[in-house]
Amino acid sequence: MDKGKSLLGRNPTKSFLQNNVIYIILIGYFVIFSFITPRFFTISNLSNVLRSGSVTMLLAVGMVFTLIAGHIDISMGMNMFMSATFACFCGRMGAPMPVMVLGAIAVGMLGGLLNGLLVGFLDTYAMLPTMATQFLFRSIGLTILGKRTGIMPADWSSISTVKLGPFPLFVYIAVSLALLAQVFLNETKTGRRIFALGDNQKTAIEKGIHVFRIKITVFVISGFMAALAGLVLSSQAMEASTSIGITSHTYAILAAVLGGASLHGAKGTAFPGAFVGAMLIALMSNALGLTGASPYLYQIVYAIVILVVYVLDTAKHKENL
Amino acid sequence: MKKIISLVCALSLVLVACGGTSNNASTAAPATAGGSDEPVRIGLSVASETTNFSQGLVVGARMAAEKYDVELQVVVADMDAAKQQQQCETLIAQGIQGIAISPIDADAIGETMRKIREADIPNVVIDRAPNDMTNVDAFVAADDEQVGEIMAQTLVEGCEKYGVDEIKCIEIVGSLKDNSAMLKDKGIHNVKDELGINIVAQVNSEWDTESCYNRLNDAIEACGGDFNAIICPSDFLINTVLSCLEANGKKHTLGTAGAVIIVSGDGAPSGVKMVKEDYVYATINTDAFLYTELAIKTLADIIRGNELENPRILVQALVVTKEVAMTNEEIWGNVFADQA
Amino acid sequence: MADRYLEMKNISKTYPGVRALSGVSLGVGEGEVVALLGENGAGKSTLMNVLGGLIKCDEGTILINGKTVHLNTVSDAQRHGIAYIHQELSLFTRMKVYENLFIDDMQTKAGFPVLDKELMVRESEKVLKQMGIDVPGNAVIKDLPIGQQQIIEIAAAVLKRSKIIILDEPTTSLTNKERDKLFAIVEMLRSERKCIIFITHDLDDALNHCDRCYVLRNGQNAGDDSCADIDREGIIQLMIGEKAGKKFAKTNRTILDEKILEVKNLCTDKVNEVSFSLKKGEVLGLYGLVGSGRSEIIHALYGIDKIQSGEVIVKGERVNKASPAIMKTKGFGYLTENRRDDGLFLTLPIFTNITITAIEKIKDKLGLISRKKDLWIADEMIEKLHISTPGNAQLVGKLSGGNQQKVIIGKWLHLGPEVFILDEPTKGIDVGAKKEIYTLIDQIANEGTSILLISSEIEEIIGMSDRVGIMANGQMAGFLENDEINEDNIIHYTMS
Repeated sequence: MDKGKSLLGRNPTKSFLQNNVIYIILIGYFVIFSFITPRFFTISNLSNVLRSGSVTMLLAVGMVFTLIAGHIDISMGMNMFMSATFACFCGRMGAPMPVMVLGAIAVGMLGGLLNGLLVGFLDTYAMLPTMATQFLFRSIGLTILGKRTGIMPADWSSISTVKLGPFPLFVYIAVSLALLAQVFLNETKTGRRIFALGDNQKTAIEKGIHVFRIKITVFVISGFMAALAGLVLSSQAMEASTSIGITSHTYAILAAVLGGASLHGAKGTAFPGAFVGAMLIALMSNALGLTGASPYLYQIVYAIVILVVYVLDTAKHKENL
Repeated sequence: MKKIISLVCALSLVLVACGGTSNNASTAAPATAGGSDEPVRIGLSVASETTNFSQGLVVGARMAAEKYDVELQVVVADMDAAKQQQQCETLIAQGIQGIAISPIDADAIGETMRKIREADIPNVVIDRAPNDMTNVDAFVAADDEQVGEIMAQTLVEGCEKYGVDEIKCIEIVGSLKDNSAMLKDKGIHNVKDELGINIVAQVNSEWDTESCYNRLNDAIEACGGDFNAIICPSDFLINTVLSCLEANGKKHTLGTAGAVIIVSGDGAPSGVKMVKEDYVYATINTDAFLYTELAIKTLADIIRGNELENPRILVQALVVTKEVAMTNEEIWGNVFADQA
Repeated sequence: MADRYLEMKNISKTYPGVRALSGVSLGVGEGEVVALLGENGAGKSTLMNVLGGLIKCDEGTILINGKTVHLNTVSDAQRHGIAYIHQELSLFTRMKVYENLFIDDMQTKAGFPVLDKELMVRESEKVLKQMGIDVPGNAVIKDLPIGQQQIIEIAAAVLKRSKIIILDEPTTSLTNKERDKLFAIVEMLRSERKCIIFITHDLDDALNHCDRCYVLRNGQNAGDDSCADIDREGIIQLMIGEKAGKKFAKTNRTILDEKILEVKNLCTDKVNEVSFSLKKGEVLGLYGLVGSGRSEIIHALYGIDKIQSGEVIVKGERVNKASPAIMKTKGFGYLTENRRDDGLFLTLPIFTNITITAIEKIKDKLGLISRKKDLWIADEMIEKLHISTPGNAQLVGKLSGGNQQKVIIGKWLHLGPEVFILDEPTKGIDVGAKKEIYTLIDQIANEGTSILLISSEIEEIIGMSDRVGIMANGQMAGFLENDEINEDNIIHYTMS
């Protein structure tokens, strides 16, 4: 039977809608809420959205890498926590801020390395290994804290408060990283190899791709992103709070998939995908907060959006088989 | 044949499990006959080791343990209600004679209380009331609703002191699922009208620093930056609140123009520090040390054969303004100052 | 005889308990196309896996251009210019054409670590044009027809300057047009003096397009000959080691007039005004080329395609709402075209596959599945159908194609169906097994089951059918009975 598809037979409108659902929802959001409240379309409010969205975006970019490779990283939230606790530790030892930052990043990348090694050696889908490392990272983080709170030194607040023009500096850094990541994914050899691995590991091996190395690469990148997110969050709370990261991986996955990544691998973009997905989540929360809506609504709205996105993603995937 | 064997095995496991717990109850009972010169074994279950409050509970318990000749076993559940239940069950199995619990989840703890009652072990619950109080022997806490009222009154005091006439307050609520947080909220709302507090926005922090930060930002936006007071439910969030204010250019010491009058709760080291630094007007101290001291004392008494006088043990709230913070060395916020 | 470009000499490979290859030799010269033939299990795949570097042989030598080579890994083989195009295509289906062609040799722009996509797209289109297809380098693989996908895989081999190309059953899923294209490419490769090894079950393909035939039997060389000097009979004789005898001929049977199935003026979006009837105990062969609509009739019968107009009547009663479950209750069994995808649970054992259709039959008093009854039915089928397997618990995915087909037949047979629909029952099955299946089907028909046989192999239709219906362009072109059934008449109707 001929498995070919007649491209002429497909409804072009339906295709366009399916592929661009996220942008349509985004624009719709902007329009609707600009009408509902005048406070929405102000620099300071948009700055807040960018601020909270950028944290999710950092995590989402990391998640995009592992998703494209056909895996996932459930441990991102706890890696974020662990990195922040290490920064706190360095601070307690009297290290200056740059050292604290580098320390956090190093720990985050080491966590990612562990994930990569596990996934590489076990040669299984990353869900279970990263679920396990999730608990490990949290324990390590709590141990680093000891029986003390994770309060950060006073100058730590600059990470999240320093502004460049109307927006916080870290937002620019985060967006630049997303752009860089996208270039890396689309325009470099390694980037293409990540897609190949996610498309078909067996074929990738046959074609001589070092899948083990690719796995390490994507998880270390994911750990790096987690560390960066941890820097910002711990700066906002001025402590390596134990509430950091508990549900983060869920929003990271949600943002990545909203932005076009697929849980089946070989698909996804850091920019505009992860960026748009993260901003949409931030916008939802912002809208609920601005309008003083019932706090119970948050969970319901998220649940509906997750379902819609999942259904669309699976429908697209089935159609493409 | 295989099917029948599997069924039988499954059934026997169930029977053993049921029988197991009742066995524990019978071995625990004889231990209570000890006289008052033997150390009593008491278990303490707390939610975390890294929040000021929980640390305070543990330290207070250890101090009380020495004072009342108690062998103390502490278990830490790290914000996981299921883990707390497991740990409590382990304590029961290890044959403790009394248990003090600071519950993580008011719903989930009900099951644990039932098991404790079945094992016939005297218990004291600290700080957070379970939704089902039937199995609770004694409850040590501040009167959360009253604390809420005190917070509101303290806020009015602070506003008067620093020349704020019309109070526009952003109220941060701990979590909708947390009974004691909701009681505080109720207390505030009981008196806000007669005190003239206008709550311009409410923030649900879900006890998460990230959510608190983002939603506080949204709330500040929603009221257009037109607010001059904040009620913060716990010092756990105070650094986040101040950081958020700083990002909005509203972090000022009391007495300077545009300063926001903040009242917080718990009296934890981080809160007390901010009071001393004039960023926070007052924090309502509910002394963590005192919670566990009262709990341990009560348990020790019961185990040694004395009768329980009052199942509802009230911890008095103390308003810690700057004067109090600077002079009262005994409050746990000062004892623990290095934890700020 | 001087060594040809590729010489495999005395290759042996033993697995625990099985001697897969004993002293097999094969040689291919430059610009030569060699067909590798043999029944399933004869050792073709094993031999090619050795050549492809997937497994190591225990004994023997391989010489390429006169020099001994050691092919321990796939990269070794690739370095020596060997490309193995497997039956299951080795492509990244969600990626683009140029990415697939260049994934192991990506081109970057001068100086920067950035991919030079324009270059790769251009080169891809160039190579594919050479092979006779016009495909944009940016097209995504899964959007392309299988025929083109296959050519792209061959193109990858060409790009790598492979000298030895192994094609494993390349024509199985192709339309006629695509097959022609494929053979045109083979010719092109031949003119470029490449060595080509063609593993196939299609004897006509072997004879028409290859220079030489190598036949393996039971892990040994059964013989080889130039394709000009041998014919079908000769090859079959080498393959099964005995005189093939005549082509299969059905037994003569008495057919009642009672119509068990009637289709009147059936219209769907794929077929138009199809009418036919099936009598009790008869074998009705439906012949037609790929795409003529034969399977689509069955899809309509089963409710998979929507019926726009027309009637379906089973045992005198009109079928109003069709679904696979309903058809099963009416006594229909259906052997689908894609046995691997639709017919079997490959990771489950034989007995589960066989009894899946009748769970009620194997329940015991408690309402749980009785393993005893389960195995009993399975064993009965294994014996009746001569399924070759070490045991009833063997995972179906490990059986040969012919045996898998028998499992599917068994799945329906133990229910005692009244009508058995068989869609391409011997596709991809070797000659020996084919004969077994024909005998089986004939036997089932003799026992009173009516059979609707869909096939695109003329000889199969002629040999098996009591009556033949020919489909062309979504319509019933004509019917043939008794003496009318011969190749000429069938072709005549096909062309109409």
